[in-house]
Amino acid sequence: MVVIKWSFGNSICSKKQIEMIKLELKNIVRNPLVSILVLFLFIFILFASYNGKSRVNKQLEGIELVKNKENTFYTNHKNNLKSIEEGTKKTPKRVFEDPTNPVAMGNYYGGTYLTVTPAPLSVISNGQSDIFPYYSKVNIGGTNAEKNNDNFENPMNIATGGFDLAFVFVFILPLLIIAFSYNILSSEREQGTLRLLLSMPINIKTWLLKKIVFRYFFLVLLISAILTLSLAIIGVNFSNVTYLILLSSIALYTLFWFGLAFLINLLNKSSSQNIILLLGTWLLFVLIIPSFVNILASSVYPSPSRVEYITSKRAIEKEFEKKEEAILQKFYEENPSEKDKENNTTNRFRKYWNKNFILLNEKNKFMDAFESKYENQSMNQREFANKLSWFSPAIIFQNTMNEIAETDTQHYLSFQNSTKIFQKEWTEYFYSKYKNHQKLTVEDFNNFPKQKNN
Amino acid sequence: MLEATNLSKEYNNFSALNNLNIKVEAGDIYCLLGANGAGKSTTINLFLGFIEATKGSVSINGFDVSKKNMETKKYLSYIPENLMLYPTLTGLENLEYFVGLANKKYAKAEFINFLTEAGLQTNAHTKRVSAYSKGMRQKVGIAIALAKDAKVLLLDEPTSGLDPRASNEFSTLLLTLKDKGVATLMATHDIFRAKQIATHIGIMKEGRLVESFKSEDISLKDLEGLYLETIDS
Repeated sequence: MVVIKWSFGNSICSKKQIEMIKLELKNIVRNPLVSILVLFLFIFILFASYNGKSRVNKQLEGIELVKNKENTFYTNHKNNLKSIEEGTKKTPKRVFEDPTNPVAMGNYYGGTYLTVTPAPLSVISNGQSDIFPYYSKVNIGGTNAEKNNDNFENPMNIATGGFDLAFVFVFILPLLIIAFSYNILSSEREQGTLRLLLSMPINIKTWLLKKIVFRYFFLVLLISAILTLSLAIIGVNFSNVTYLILLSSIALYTLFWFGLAFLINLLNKSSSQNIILLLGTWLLFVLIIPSFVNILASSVYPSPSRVEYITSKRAIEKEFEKKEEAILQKFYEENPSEKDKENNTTNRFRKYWNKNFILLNEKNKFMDAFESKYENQSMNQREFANKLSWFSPAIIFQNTMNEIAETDTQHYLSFQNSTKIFQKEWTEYFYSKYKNHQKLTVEDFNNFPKQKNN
Repeated sequence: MLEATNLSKEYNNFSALNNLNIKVEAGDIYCLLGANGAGKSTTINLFLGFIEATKGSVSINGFDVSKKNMETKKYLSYIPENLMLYPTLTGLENLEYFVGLANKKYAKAEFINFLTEAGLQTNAHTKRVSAYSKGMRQKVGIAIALAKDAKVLLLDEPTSGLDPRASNEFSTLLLTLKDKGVATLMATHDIFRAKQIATHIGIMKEGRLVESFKSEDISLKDLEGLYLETIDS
């Protein structure tokens, strides 16, 4: 005989209690509605996993594509350089094709792609992946981390918001829990078993709690099994700690909804009143509060629209172009040695790039100031919305899944940030070669700055 | 075993039960007769502790129902007018479930014996209750009472809607329980059944117990006359 200590209800889970659990299970499983719900849940989870997997695959293909492009460019030039060093080839006439020229290799067709490698469990949530690019080309001229999104989306996906696992768990799972628990007590009254039940020496609240707890464990185990099975079918590696975190957050979110169902059952209303109340809370937590949070955050910290941002960015770039001469003048006044160098240069290419390096540096500072204004505004908005998210477990749960999938805003922003930092490193590398009139060697090709971490 | 003392129940100044005193000893079957609304079901609900008395007290096996409700429920078994069970479970599973709630332990064979003792045919034991007739469900109710080892049986019009054969079988079962020393309180409209099985009979009207006597002291014909006379007066 198996005897398990069961902390719940201070009783020992004896053979009799196992019998009772079996009966509860039979009572649930024999309900035809339950098998239909389980089937639908399985289809939803499998379909959502498939969707997530194809998005991740597209991202991986895209990363491979740009990396190939980059590798082809540098391998070709490295080979050319080898031939030139061996004397089998002449240095190309056109400066852009010259593998010994640091600016040609660090700019124009040159440059490196920084990429966002999808997290192991990236499939679970689209998050911000349809807004932020997952790669960015970096060269001396700059980065395009903010604007580059070659990621053409299926318009249907954008219209429907994308059917990912996060959607299934945040939106559909609570409905399933409601269907599972709205009438635990009221159905006893409506089918007439309540009178017999009440004549038994039991506390009806404890009885209800036991039922809810049983159904809670039943559903959590069921979802974990279905999710694991689906991920295995789709071919996602889930043997990591983050997967346990995901399962625990699903369990917590499920607990919230079962807790709510328990309270509403305790109100002792009819099944139809219960379902209306529960669907009302579903609307409140899943739809109304999240949109309210968005509205509130964007009215307290209004951020400009994308269009407005791009227009004013263009305007400010134009403004900078107008000021270029003045800026150069000012720079030469402050650094007279640069002015002398400039006057002694006869090479047209170097004449242009002497100026250009100064201007690029100044422009970066100028644009940073402009962008930080916008970034501050949207950062304030995000922080405010994060604080308000405590009003709805649905928002917290969605954010958690985005974080697990590494498709949250923060992750993309830190990518953009690291891109900017890397861009400086990249420019610095080629600039120092340029400044010292060094030609690139084959060895240099192996030492170009590389993206870290990813 | 079962006792009501000066029991009254009022709903918004309407007296549903007025100063009721009854006592049912072990091995007694007390039948409460009376028209609809006479207070029979109220009395049973008070014994169950489903409602609270305005005045007076009810006790089961010496325990006050309003104070020791959980304790009193250990000794009683209740069969409402329309006993409902879980339709997706079999009769046997329903018995196991409810007896399990009452914290009694039995082996499977013992559960089957209870059902057989309650007169449920063997091939119905493992059929789902959704296919049961009212009589069959009540037999499961009796099996619950047997398994729970109930000292008190509370019945609210159990034979209404049963065919004569089922009704007869039910009466036989009640007599078997009587021989085991169970105290039974039964609300009924069936004068014939009452005379046949009761040890004591009471007639209620407008919340008051107007007549109470031993069943052996009266003939069926006299009982019917007395009943009609009481109701019409």
